[in-house]
Amino acid sequence: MSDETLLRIEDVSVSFGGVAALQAMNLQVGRGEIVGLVGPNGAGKTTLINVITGYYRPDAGTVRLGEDEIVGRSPDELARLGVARTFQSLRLFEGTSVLDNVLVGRHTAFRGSLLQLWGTRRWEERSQRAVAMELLDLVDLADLAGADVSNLSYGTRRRVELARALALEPRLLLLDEPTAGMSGAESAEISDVVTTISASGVGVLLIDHNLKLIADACETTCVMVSGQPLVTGPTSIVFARDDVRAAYVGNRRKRDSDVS
Amino acid sequence: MFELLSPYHQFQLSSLLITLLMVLSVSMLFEAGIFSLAVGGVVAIGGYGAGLLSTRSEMPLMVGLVAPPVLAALVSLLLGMAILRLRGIYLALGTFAFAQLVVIVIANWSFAGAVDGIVGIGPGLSVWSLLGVVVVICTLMELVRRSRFGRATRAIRLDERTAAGVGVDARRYRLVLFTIAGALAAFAGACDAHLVGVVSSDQYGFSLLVTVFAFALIGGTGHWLGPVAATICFTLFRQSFGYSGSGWEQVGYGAALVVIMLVAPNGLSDPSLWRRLRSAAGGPGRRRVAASSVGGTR
Repeated sequence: MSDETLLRIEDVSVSFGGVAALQAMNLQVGRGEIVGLVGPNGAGKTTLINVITGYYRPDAGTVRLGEDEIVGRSPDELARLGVARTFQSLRLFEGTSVLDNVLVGRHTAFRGSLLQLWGTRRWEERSQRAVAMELLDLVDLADLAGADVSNLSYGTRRRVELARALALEPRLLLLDEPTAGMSGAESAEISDVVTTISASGVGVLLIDHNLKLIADACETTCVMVSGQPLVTGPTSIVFARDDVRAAYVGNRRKRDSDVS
Repeated sequence: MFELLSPYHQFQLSSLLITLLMVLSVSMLFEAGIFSLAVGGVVAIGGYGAGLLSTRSEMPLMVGLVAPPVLAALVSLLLGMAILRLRGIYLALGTFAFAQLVVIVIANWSFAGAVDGIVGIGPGLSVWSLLGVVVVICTLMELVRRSRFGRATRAIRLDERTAAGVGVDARRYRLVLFTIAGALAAFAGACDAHLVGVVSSDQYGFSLLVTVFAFALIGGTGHWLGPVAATICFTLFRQSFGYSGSGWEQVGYGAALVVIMLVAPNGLSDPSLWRRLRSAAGGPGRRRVAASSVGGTR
């Protein structure tokens, strides 16, 4: 754990009807740290991100961003506080251009009002476009800036969503399966981008089923099962544990021994 | 002002411009994905406000044109705070109930003439001033469309939850737009009362909603030019063929709506419609789309 904790989740519980999606969940992310979050489908990983970004309100527990308690704040408020996310179900503003999608992410960075002078407004619009283009360059999409996002391939759309999240200049970046549906080369590229971002001091929580990506990018990893943390620790040690393998890929060794 | 138009044509053009203001008030809400039928109610507030101030008080015309929109903005703000948590068809029903409530209240209010309404309202703004107002409103809408506010509004229409996730305060945007649209519709109602000289409660019923919504829906979202073009075309058509007010007019709107929903479900100003038309014509649009899809497979 880094010396400066950015996100601190303590004893967070969420239930939908009678189903407990999160039970006494604990997790910390430090500045400049990439924490991996893995676990089987339905373990509560996305629910956790929805709690951190204000889409769900937990029944119990606290979530702190720096010194601030953030439970009960709205998603847009949290975005302005520097929490950015991508969506597992990939949500872009369909029918608009790649650049426009990223510029919506720059929304909070604009300073002026509608009444400001025409010249100042043009200048600000141009400088925000320049920032958006830099971000598109970072995810290697600069030459597609004018393309309609609805016409792009799945992996490309994922990169647009990443650029839009980065446009918020977040302190904390929550990535929900950013490499799902990507080729190996594309995943490696995303991994590079995430590493670059975290090196500038951004805390990253990375959910992915690509365990090689997690092993490469994350120093610390948390394995979740049934809404609870099974184990949290250095990635290499966590992945070597038998109970983690059992929880993640099914109890294969045991089944093998049953057969033999 | 020199006589460029005959009084008859001045009246027709004024009537068109006033309808345009109502349509713009509805389509600015469409931009944020708000389907509100409250426009009937706020237009009535504007019409009756102007009618009462002009016939029952000695206030100058300007007060009669400014006070009703201010009142309507206040009413819209309060209504919006209560009702904008609803979405889609529920919001449409809730706002329709508001519009009907306003009409029922004024139809039974003896001070405002009850079912007889108010007659003898003096003339209001000249056709040129009205044209000036419309130009100013369109200019403002264009400035907003090109700014971050326009981008945020589009984002709310396309995906409100995601827009919130990137820092757009959707609740505030919806409320501010609802208030502005209310004021604009009430201003149109006030101008209409002065133009026609008469207000009565049946003027603000379902047929007003049908007309305004037909124009706004056919015009579509994405650009204010769509609703403006739709309003001008349909109004010229009905004025020159004399169908105005007959049953055929409503039939015509219904048919036009069906055709538009089949050909361009997002209306005339939908950018993807224009992209499709351009690529069908084999223009430069086609090559650009092809280039981007090649790039996308990298």
